[in-house]
Amino acid sequence: MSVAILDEKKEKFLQALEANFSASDLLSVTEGLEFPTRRAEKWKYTRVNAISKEAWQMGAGALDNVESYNPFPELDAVSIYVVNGQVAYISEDLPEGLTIESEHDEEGALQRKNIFTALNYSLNPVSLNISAAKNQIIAQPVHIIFVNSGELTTAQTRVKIAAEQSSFLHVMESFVSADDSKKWVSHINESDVHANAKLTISKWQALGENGYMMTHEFSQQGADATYTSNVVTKNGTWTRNDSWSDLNGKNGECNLNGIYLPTAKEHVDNTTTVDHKVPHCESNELYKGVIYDAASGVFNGKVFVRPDAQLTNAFQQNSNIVMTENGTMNSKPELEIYADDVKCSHGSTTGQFDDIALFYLMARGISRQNAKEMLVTAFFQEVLDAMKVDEFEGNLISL
Amino acid sequence: MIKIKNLHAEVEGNKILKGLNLEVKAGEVHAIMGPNGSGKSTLASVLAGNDAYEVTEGSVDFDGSDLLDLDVDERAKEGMFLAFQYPVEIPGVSNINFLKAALNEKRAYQGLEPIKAKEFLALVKEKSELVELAGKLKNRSVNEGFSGGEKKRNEIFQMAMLDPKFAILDETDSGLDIDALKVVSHGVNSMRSPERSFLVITHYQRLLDYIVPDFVHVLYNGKIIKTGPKELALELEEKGYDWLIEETV
Ligand SMILES: Nc1ncnc2c1ncn2[C@@H]1O[C@H](COP(=O)(O)OP(=O)(O)OP(=O)(O)O)[C@@H](O)[C@H]1O
Ligand SMILES: [Mg+2]
Repeated sequence: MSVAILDEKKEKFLQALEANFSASDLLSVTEGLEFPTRRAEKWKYTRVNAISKEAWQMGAGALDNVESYNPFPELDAVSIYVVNGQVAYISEDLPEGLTIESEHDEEGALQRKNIFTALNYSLNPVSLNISAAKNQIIAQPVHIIFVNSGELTTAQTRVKIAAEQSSFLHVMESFVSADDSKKWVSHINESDVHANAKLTISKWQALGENGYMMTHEFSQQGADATYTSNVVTKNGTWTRNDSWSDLNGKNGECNLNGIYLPTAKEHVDNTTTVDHKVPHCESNELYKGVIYDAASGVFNGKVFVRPDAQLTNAFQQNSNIVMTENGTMNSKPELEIYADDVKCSHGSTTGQFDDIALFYLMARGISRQNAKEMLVTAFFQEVLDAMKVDEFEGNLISL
Repeated sequence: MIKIKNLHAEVEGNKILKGLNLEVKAGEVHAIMGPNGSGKSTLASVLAGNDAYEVTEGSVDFDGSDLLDLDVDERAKEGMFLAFQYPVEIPGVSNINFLKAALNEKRAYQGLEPIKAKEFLALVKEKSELVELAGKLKNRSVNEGFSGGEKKRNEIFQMAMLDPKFAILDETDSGLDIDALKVVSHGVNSMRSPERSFLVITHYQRLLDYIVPDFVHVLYNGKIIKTGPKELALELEEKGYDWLIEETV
């Protein structure tokens, strides 16, 4: 019975896509891959229905005044503009040791394939590959601005990053909309952080009204490597961020930081998997959210500590404030520990807004709006400190 | 300054204030005493505008404006100040930055330019020295890690910074040792002026040796049941409240 239902959903999803994409390709690339339903553990609190019935199409690959959509125009960065999934502009002056190129690949070599990653490759075979050469400290961040426009457009994008041995690289990815029409953005990061390298990916998600966004972040870390993922979900109707971090070399450090502040009926889901495969690694997860109005949030954090991964330090914290009675938050930390000499902790809290603190600030003459902003910023400060991205600090609450 | 008429207020369906009348004129200091749970903090919260408390009847005139019609911050901007019985710890909100924001909001409300950084720092220095908190405020979150006495002194520091015309001190003396009590009283007395009034809520007559009131009121069961000169406090300390309560019923 349940198999039939799964098939039916998938069939509808693919049928809708067939309006603009080749039917036989869709069938072959998704063969054996299910369309997720809430029966699946990792999709229990997030429904994919909203994107499954639309005849998505590729939008135009250019846009007038594309720079005007850069949310951080003051940032001194190597800029790349991607319009509706197609590269529109790449800075010409690249610092020494930094390479940026496009690659054509319709299948990819992902170990953890699912229906969306498979379609991502098939619908847009071009990946953007960024690499930092061995021993190169790339001081300027690379900032990719993904601009989306047009009714029922989908952007299927991939950024593959290689941080070679002992290199340093920060890639910022901003996702914005040029208009309020319905759009589906599906983005993949595949990162290799080689021995002793440091890679940070910082995402700014601001697709706004009618923006449906899913990201998949895969990272492979070598010995002594540090991978940091920062995700701020500023707005967007529906957001699902999946990440898989594999710690494959000793003394690796993996940091996952997230901030989300959905309003109205927005939905944000951060689902993470950290896999400690070898000894002496550390992972730190810090996710904080403020759920306004009738919005909803999900945090699903899985940590594996494999039998060989002795002396692992794994920390996970998810804290939430639900502002109204209509908001919901589902938080599910999960540790699966198969080694005995490890230090692991996880914590999850969901509380209400501190009305007494609000009253205290207002009783000193601070307006309701400013007092709320102060308290929300204070709540997020710990994550902002962990992220160390100045551009996020001032822009969290404003607009 | 403030004229409270027939004030009724409830919280979560419980009637707490049951027809309270009180007038405080400019320059006066009024003390309010009364047993635990009689409604003293409720009165303070209602005047400051805490919306957990619902006013069901009555009016409050604050220097010509309808106090109950103003939002919490507007009351503060109009010159109302409440020193909390239990000052709130707010991790992540800097004590100094928040005070600067408060001061500047008030100035904007009065049509004044934001205070200059240098002037603000000088003011912080002067007022924090007044309550012997100098040096304890830098890089600190609001009340975080403060001892009970420090929190109370921080309330008086904030009062001095914001320069209100009507200040309510809700048990600012409770739990203070004699040195801290002197510091707090000195802070308050240095602010006494013909234009400023105080409502001092306390359980202990001792405070009133330092902050000498013009009137002492007894609040019981949501009403003021007795008003007298400062000597009333001595009598209350000696005899307790029972004789007064019996007199009323
Ligand atoms: N937020 C609240 N929810 C429910 N009941 C409350 C609340 N605040 C006050 N009360 C009740 O209202 C009554 C008056 O409380 P209030 O704090 O005003 O007394 P008080 O005179 O300040 O007492 P104390 O001397 O102990 O400070 C008490 O019975 C108290 O339990
Ligand atoms: Mg009280």
